[in-house]
Amino acid sequence: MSWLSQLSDELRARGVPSRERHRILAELHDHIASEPGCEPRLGDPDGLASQFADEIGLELQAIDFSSVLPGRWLALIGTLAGVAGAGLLTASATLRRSGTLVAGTAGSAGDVFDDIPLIRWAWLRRPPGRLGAAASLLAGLAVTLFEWRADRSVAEGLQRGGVRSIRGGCRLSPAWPRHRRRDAPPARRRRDGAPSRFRFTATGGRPRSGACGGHPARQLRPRQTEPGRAHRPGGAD
Amino acid sequence: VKTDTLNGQLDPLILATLAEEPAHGYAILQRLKHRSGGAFDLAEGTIYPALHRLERDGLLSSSWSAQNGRRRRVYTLTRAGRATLIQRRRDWLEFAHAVEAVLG
Repeated sequence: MSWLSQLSDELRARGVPSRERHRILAELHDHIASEPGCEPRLGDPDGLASQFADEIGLELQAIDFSSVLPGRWLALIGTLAGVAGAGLLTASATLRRSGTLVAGTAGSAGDVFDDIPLIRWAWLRRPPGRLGAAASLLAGLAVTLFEWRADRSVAEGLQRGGVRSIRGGCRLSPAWPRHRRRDAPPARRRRDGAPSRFRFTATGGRPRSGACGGHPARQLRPRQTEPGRAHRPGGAD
Repeated sequence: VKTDTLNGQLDPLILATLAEEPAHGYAILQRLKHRSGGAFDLAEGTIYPALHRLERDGLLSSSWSAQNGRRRRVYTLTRAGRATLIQRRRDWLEFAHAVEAVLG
């Protein structure tokens, strides 16, 4: 086995990527071709491979960590954001809710993975290489785009599902009169033309079934105190 | 001079040899030998990891070139590399004066 073959095996064993490995081998091949028989002076292939792994391998690993990993996550987040966007447009409430949730969290997840190069810099005290910096920049741009899309999806979701939740809150409010003071005088009916659901909130009465709003006076049957005379709420009997 | 003694000094030596003109790995080594009068006894392969590191740190740039039908990686000193070389030369002179003063 030739000296170069041994070096190639040692570099491969230490996880030096093929592109970098080919460059190293090409340079050393040129060196040997310049002075045939100089292999012993080049040093032990094992020791040289270790040096390369120490000098370059760590950096390459860090570049992989700072650019490829967020890239993978970006692909996942992008897919989820796309699914979320599609889900928001469907009629299914479950899909819409899950879509809104995913779209809302995708941006935050993207932010976290976008910060990985910064964390790496703080951890290793080594600035990203040019390749890593460029990849991080591209990843950041992609995250921003996905975030923009996700935010738009959330806005759409709020426009569609948000109205429902407000109505839902209204439906829960019939329990409210139970807590109101029994001796409180019935509120006066508003005549300012406010929408019925707000009228309901203002008066604190019980809504008509299937609707948000309605005045409690409408629900009360007139109490007959004297034949032919209706009870007047709040008045003296 | 053994490799251990050269530890920490190989980088400025490489930068200094490239200050004249761009060169490939083998030529850099020949210049080092020539300028030192053959005093440095280092494993020749060790300059390649150093070259890669210096390039990664932005002190050197490199590109492939074809010379006599062979592909060679030619290294060039960058502006940052030149500034670093000036600084390292200054540091070395201070260090050498201090050691000389102590050793007498």
